[in-house]
Amino acid sequence: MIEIRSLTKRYGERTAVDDLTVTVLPGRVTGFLGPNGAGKSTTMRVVVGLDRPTSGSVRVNGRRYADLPVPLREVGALLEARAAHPGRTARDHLRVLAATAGLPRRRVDEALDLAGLSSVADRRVGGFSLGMGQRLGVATALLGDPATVVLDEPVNGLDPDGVLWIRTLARALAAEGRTVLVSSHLMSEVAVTADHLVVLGRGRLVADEPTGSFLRRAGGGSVRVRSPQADRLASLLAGNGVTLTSPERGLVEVAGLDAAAIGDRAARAGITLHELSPVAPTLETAFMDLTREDREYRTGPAEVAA
Amino acid sequence: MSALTVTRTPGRLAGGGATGLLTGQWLAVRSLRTTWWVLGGAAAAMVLFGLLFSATAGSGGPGGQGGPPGLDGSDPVALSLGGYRPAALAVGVLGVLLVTGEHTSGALRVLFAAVPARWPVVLARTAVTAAVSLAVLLPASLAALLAGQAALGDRGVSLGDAGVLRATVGTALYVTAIGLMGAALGWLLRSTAGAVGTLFGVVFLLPVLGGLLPSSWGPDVVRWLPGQAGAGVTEVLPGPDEFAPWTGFAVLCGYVVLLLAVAVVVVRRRDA
Repeated sequence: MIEIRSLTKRYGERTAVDDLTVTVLPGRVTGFLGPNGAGKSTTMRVVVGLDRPTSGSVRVNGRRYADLPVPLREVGALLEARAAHPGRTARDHLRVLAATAGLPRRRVDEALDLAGLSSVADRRVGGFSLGMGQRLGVATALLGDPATVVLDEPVNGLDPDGVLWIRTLARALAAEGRTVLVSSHLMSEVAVTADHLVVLGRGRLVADEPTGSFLRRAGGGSVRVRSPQADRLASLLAGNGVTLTSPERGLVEVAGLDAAAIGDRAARAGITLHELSPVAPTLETAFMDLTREDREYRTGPAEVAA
Repeated sequence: MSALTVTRTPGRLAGGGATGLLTGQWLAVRSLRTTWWVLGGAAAAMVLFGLLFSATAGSGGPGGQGGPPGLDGSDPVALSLGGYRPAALAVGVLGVLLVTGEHTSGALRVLFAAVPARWPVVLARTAVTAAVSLAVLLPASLAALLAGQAALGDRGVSLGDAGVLRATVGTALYVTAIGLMGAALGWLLRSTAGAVGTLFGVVFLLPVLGGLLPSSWGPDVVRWLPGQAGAGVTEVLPGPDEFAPWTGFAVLCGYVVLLLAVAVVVVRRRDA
């Protein structure tokens, strides 16, 4: 469990995290969302004791990070891609940490195996691809078999296989009762993995709620429908709470109805559909929707999206 | 709170204790090729330069002047150990690289997350760097002396002569100390260029500039410079403006300890 209380972190004049209070619970995947520069990485760095809070406090598994007797056994973190010396092999990188934390040698092999790096364990990290570097970061995070796992943008640079692996891994770790905090600036990525979302905007808490409710609150996205009888379809779907837009001929974007409802109605009316695809709201639009009413952020869309 | 005291395991810092830290840092230093290339290069430089200086000392020039610059051609020990300057250059850079390489790659942040107190990492890394350097440089220094004396033939001295063994061991100690000074600067400045530049400036450039000072008080300043203070321990007979051998080496070690102490304070305070 990670308990963040009134955390503020300033770098000189810039406030990276502003009075953040949030609790990350075990047994579920918590997605940590926000545009680049929202303060996600800073928060994670404070959680593992790399940066000092300007004010406020963080407790991990009930204790201050500095008071953890064996930090690697309690918290595993992936904070930056390829955080290993390029001249060292993957195995040696992990052995250094295992020796430091007093972990048995076999943990190194287990972590390498878990990350799918066994075959390249004795290659120098400098020759690793970004994806292999990320995998080594995950191996590092899981080395101490920690109860709390913190992954900062873990899917960056991963191929589709790797993305799927991270999703499965995050869910499996949570299912084992661990606390899993995974950051991303891509809503679509986190939406499929996380049970719960913590959303930051400019260092402040924007949302702390289950993924489903956040998505609904964020507008729930829309559905793209392509049909040769688009006009008939549009008049069929029009109604209370439904917004229709037609960016081009034969294409309708429907907000307020889900894909199943649209397909059912079209079938009943005998309308041919060539495409029926849900469009998830992007983080950017969801984020802007959620912060629109917040006066603090009324500084123009260009700046919010940056 | 009793819950805290019960679960704390005193004496097992970061889980592995002092042994784990030292083992880890030994693995870290050993696993980098740079370590062995630079130390090997420094050892080779010591032996080869020593041989070269010793072998050419007697050749002289047309004007009777000969031999290597800056060395007393009549001091057999100084001739054979004369390679310590390039060796100190190399090992000083190694000291810097072993620290800044970990920092720029991000490996240090992973390590600091594992050891939140941070200072044990600095101390363990320093101890391992010193031990590894000495393990290579002591035999190299001895080999340089023996090879040099062999090349000098009749004019050579033996290891048993007064001050010879001390100068030989002192040479390895001096080069190691410069390496640790590089490491301390690496911790402090975090940038390879900055730390290497500072080290060269202080150890190799300042003594040259110091030579421009008035002779009435210049030498009193120059002898306190780290590189000059420590150099006496590498000679059988230190010059008139130099500290006694071990006094000078203690001054050099004082600088190293001071820099490391500042480094520990800064590393603990600073965001990693």
